[in-house]
Amino acid sequence: MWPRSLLAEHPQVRRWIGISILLGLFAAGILVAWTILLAGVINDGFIKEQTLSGVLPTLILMAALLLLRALCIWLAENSSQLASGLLRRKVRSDSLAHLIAVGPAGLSAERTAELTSTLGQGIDSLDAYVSRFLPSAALAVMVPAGVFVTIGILDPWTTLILLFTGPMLILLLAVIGSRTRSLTQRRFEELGWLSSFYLDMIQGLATLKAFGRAEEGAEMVEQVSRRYGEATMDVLRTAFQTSLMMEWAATAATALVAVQISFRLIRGDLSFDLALAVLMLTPEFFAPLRRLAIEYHAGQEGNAALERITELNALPAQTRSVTTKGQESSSLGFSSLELSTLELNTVGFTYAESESPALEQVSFVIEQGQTVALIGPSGAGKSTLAKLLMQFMQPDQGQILINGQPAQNLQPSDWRRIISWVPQQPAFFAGTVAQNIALGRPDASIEQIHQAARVASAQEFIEALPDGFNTLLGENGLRLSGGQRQRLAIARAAIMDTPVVLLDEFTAHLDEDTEAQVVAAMSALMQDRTAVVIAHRAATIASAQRVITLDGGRVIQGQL
Amino acid sequence: MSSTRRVIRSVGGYRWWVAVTALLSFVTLGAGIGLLAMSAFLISKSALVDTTITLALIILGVRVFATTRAVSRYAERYVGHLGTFRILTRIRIWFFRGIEPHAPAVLMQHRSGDLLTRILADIDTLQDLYLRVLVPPVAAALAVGLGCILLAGFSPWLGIALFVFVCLCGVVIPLSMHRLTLSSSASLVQEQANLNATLVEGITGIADLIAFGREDLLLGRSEHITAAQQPARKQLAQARGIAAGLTALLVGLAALTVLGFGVSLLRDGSLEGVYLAILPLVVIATFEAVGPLSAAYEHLGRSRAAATRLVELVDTPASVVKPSASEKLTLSRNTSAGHTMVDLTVTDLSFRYAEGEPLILQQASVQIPAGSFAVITGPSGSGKSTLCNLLLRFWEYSQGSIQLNECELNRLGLDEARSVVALVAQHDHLFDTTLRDNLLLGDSRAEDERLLEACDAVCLGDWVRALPAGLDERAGENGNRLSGGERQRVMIARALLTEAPILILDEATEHLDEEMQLDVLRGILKWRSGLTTIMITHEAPNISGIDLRLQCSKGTLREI
Repeated sequence: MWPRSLLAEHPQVRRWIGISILLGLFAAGILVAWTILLAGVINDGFIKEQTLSGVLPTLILMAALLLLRALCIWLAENSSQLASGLLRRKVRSDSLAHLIAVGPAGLSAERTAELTSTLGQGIDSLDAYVSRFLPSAALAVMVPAGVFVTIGILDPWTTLILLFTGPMLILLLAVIGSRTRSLTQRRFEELGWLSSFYLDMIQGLATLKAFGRAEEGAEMVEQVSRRYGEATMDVLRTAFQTSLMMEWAATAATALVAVQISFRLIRGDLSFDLALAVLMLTPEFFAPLRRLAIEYHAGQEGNAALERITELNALPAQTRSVTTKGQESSSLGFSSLELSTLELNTVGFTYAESESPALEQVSFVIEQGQTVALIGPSGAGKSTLAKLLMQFMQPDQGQILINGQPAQNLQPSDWRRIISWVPQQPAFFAGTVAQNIALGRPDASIEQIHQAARVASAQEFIEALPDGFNTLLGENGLRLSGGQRQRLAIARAAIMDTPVVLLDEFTAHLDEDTEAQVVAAMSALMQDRTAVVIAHRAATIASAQRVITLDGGRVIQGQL
Repeated sequence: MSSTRRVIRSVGGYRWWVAVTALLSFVTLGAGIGLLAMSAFLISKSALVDTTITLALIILGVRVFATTRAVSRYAERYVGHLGTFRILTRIRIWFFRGIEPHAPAVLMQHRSGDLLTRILADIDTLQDLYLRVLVPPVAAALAVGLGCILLAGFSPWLGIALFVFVCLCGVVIPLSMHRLTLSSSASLVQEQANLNATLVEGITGIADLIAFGREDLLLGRSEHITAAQQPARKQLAQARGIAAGLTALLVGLAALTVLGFGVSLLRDGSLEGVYLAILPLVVIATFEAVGPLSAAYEHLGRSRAAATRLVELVDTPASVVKPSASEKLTLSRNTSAGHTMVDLTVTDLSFRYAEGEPLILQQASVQIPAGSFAVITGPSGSGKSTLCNLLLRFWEYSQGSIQLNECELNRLGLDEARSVVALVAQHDHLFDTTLRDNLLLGDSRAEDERLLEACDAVCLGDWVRALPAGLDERAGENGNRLSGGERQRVMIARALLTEAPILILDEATEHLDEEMQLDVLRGILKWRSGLTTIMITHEAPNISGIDLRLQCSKGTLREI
């Protein structure tokens, strides 16, 4: 089971949980002793008719025990928090690092909001799992056992009742637990679905409004929210039923013990102080089990999240991204960024969900400084080729070669010094315009940033923004038009100063004036450099020295 | 008015339900008090070998209390959660309706992951407000009343002693902890939103991050946020530990105090020995009601922070002023050949997005008669898209006028204004559902045949028919399963279905190659013959039938 291996991987977490359980056990032990003392004091007052001063020493001892118990409870809470804090950080970092390694191609079938809720709330729900469920589960076995032995010493007959009801409750818990398991799983999936739905609604709210359909959006929000509520209630109903059974069985057993003891008291088989102690200890036998029934739900939620995280961690890594530090050393000795050839050698790629290959036997060589246009109808394999060139995925067949060396042998950080990318739909990140231009070069000087903006003919419009280069840019790119976004993306690539640039339909949004400017600026920049342009428009193709035509995943024209 | 109260009042309907839940909770707690008191009384009576008829009655009482307790706990939880989920759904609808007027003007300033957190996690947090903040004090007040009255029946001093301890535990601890942890709770809620925003942004832009070697924007930032949550979580755990420890301590001390009192009352002769055991047990049972109060502070803090985040967004001043009922005009609709004819007249329109920002539109004037095909060209940033935003009433204009059939646009109802103008813009959203559902947004009553006709008009019909699932094919997140060109054409088909008197295509065909662009345009014009179509583009298409050519530059429009 996953949770167990999870704990095995994190000995520190295990240690803190162990300490928390130990403290819990200690607190339970104190409570048992305190309860027996309490019965003793009542016996002293009631049967032995002692005065207050007679019982005072015991009362003071009991107060001291309480203080000790409070200390245990406080420390136990702290150590389980330490455990869950460690685990949460570790699991989140590991899963995110893995997602990055899986990359955009591998994640294309996943939903952003679902991943977000798994990595956010999902991992946070490990908190309850680790800090509450795990200790409760351990204590639910140990404490009843301890109480059972204590009662056995005080009054063996009563243990018969406990012997009968205790295991029954554990069995009950296990049976119902297996029933709620699938329900909890479903609810967790529902949560992911719900997140995706709301994100979709939020991002599309303006569109809904434009079509005058916002009211229907509100109705859908209601439906979806209700459905989620029902899925949660399904889980909770079962959890409450478990509690009901536990509660009922525990109180019934307590009542049975009370009645049984009272009859034996009347017959004089049992002394009052023992009887009272047993009566008061009996609820403590059931208390940890009842607590476990309450925490069970939290535990299963954490479990569902863990299963989803395990699933994500099983996705194959497709990129070769830098997720660990210390990989900076160059494997090819790229001291200067020289490139003589970029070659594709019989490259083939087939998507997992598809039968026919997206690329087949694609071979061509691009010499240094060439501008090559890749054209072809949609579905021809242009974007697959782009993903391979960016190393978002690796070819099934053949190789991409740099200066005659396989690209796989290069460190990912070297690859980024070779190729930069102007995507069709660039994403921007919270930060200033300057920070977004300097995305790949966070240490770039203001001069370099301005220079990059000039190259992309973006300087004019950036300076017209409220705060110029320091204007904050949201994830949606503020109010930038398509052309402006595109030019920012060009500036972002220009600052990288790489020997190869991959442009994905980059002139699609530019007006003729700007397009001419950009093409001019780019060709100036591309002097002695290599550009691969995935293009539709004649203007770009015109400036290309070579045109490679793709169709049905094969090069049909322009192959060397 | 505090934000929690504001949210509660806005959705209403909670009072009866809080009352019912609290009452059921009180029955549970009362039965607990009764059960322990009865059991103790039973044992004590038996110790005196008192075999009167009362013993059978007491045994019956024990059984009744045991069953009542189990059943009422189940009912309390069931009713409580069911009601909460209903209320949460109402809050979601209230929130959705509340933010709807703010799309896109205000919402675009927020990261979508943050908005997602508000509608999902923040509203879920409010669940605790009802179940763990509002209900427990009511139930506890009733149960404490019962416990104190029971003890006061033996001696007023016993009742007072219990009351003092209860106040310490149920009022002083929660209030001081609330004050202590308020900022931690608030920061935790905020950090959760930051985390989700980072995750949504980073996962959406994962390709860009990897391509530019900035995985740290996702990995590093979320590690940073997780670490930043740590002190707040620690402080909360600390407070939780202290509260739990102190509560356990106070329960015990209260029991000891009452017992000590009882012993001295016994010696005075003002208490019968048989009742002594009842005293500490009633105290312990009463405190069962007080325990949850010491945790309520944490939930109150979080609920407050969550509610504040909801209210803050809903209460943002609306970006567009709705006309009051008396000022509201209705558009005069002239129909010709089954079409609604709307003349568009813009006069001296000036606009800036915010104070201090440059004017985007400067006294722009244009007249577009009904049924014409107008093409507006101009460099990016010249104000073309801003004009669309004003026509769709996403932003308010105050200088100049926009008239539809001589009726001022801002005196029309928002829905009516939007039913006249349809827009296809680059940032439009495709929903993560089937193609059919996306198309139905244009006309909810359209049959499949009609939808396919609209697709045919944009040269997409054959593609849709060839899809394995046809119209049931999913579009993916924001249409990411479609190519750029397919996405744009689906959006155009959707807008065609509205048959709106005015359709604006804002750079809507830029992803298509020239031949396709002309075919699509011909299809659009044929579909919309007799209706106004305005095309905003960088480059006027080489097509016949353009009635009006306009040039947009630096915020002004002029006919060419």
